[in-house]
Amino acid sequence: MALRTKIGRIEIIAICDFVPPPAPTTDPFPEVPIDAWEPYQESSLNTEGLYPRNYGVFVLRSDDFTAIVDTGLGPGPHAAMNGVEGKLLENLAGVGVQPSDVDGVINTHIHPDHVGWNIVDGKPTFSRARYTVSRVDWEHWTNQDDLPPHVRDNALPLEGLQVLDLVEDDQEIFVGIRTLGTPGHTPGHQSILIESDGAAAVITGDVLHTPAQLQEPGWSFRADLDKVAAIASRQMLIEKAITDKLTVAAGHLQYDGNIGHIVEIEGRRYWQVLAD
Amino acid sequence: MTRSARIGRVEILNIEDYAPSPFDPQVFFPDVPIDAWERHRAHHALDKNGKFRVSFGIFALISDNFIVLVDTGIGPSVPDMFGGGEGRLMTNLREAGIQPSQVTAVLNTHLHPDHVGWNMTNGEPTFPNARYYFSARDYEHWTSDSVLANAPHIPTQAQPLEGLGLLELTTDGDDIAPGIKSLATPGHTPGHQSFLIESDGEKGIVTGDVIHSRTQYTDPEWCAGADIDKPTAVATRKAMIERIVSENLTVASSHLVVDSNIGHVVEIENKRYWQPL
Repeated sequence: MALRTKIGRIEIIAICDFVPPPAPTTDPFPEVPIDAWEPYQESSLNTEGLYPRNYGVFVLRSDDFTAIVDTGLGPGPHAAMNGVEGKLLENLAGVGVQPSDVDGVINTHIHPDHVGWNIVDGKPTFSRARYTVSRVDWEHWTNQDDLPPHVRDNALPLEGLQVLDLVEDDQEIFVGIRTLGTPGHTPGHQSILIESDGAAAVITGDVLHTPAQLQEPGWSFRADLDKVAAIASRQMLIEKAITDKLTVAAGHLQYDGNIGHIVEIEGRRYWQVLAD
Repeated sequence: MTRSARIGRVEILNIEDYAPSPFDPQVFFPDVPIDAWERHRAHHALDKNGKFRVSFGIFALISDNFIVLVDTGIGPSVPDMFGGGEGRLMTNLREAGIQPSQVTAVLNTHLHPDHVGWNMTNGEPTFPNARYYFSARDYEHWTSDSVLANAPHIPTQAQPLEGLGLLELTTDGDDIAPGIKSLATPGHTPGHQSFLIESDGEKGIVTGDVIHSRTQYTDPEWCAGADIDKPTAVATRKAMIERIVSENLTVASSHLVVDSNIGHVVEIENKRYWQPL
């Protein structure tokens, strides 16, 4: 069952590419001592004390458009994960979305687990879609001598295929959908704000990797490139989500638990998952 | 995850008596279709095997002036239907620094066997210096002839306190200790009571069996099989949740899983959710 919610006239549906096996906490958070997770066992770890991973993607759907935010790790098979294959297209079909229905693909940043299905066999997976990528992230990742494979295969061709739209921070992509600059995890990382009929939500991208970071924004994920900037972005986004009562969707949080609200009680911040 | 919280000058401390092995949720909630639990999956309402976890525990309310226990657990010998183990309340109380003789009052939310299990030990009051508080309505119900005939725990754990002169019978709104007041919450049993705590402007509630699962804060219509009068239990639950939300009460519900049984109820997009502290 897919977790979903409505923000005014825009529906957000959580689906995923696939759920990899849980990992020891020191894998995603090498600098956080294991003991420090103790208060967050229930909210953030599974019953074995492991970190639950998820390659989550969000569908945004209204009468006017269908968009997806990020495209997972891709079809695979992924050698580093026991040959597992991504299931994004099946999971999109499961909520009634065919690749040709998608008007827009929005990449929060150019990491392999967010652009994996952008292109398959040299062609855009979503044949009618414009692909939206942060200009700053694009310049960072494409101006390298040795292009990482995911940049070479799943980002750079978008330009030649003439489906690429480079966007700035605070730029509207569809009616009610705009970018929010949240740099740090990558230089041009963007979260996505959704506003419709007075309701509002944010798709965090990789600003959040675990509910524990709501109370511990100083905890840095292993892949945060600029940890200081990432912490500042995380603090800003948490404050904004609380102040504006945003619905929050975070693709790497546990599958079926990655749309919720941040609640503050007696000065502490908690992750509250929405029931279907 | 916590086992304690502070309400003004009153510390509320959860002490476990016994946790049975998780079991099929329909054992506890026979009227709730198994599919309905699915929507609460991300809330850890069931364990990873889809089993329902329940705890048998109590809350100690501790201030400079009193040590009050709300309920006394399932008792030294656990019935076979819950695994037949031993209740560990006395060991756990001592580990928390509470000696039985220090307890000034025992408040029973109701007279089900898993709430009065340690009221008496071998015919003696387990807490020799305590007054014991039952609701008058529940005591009347459980000591009526037809009910008493099927309630062997009443003659051992409830009635002797009357003869010993240790029993106080309460009605709705009674002041029990400074800042602690009874609140009639009928339905689960006819005279079920919860306890309101107020100290230095802060407020809390010990719900008793108005709540058996965190899902009931979102779905108050869900009834435990043990709710005797289900329509009344639902009405009581809804009214209590409204009060919890409107007065921003800190909440303690002893059957919820240990370490997440003290919390708040939050309202998001017109639904209520349990948020453990």
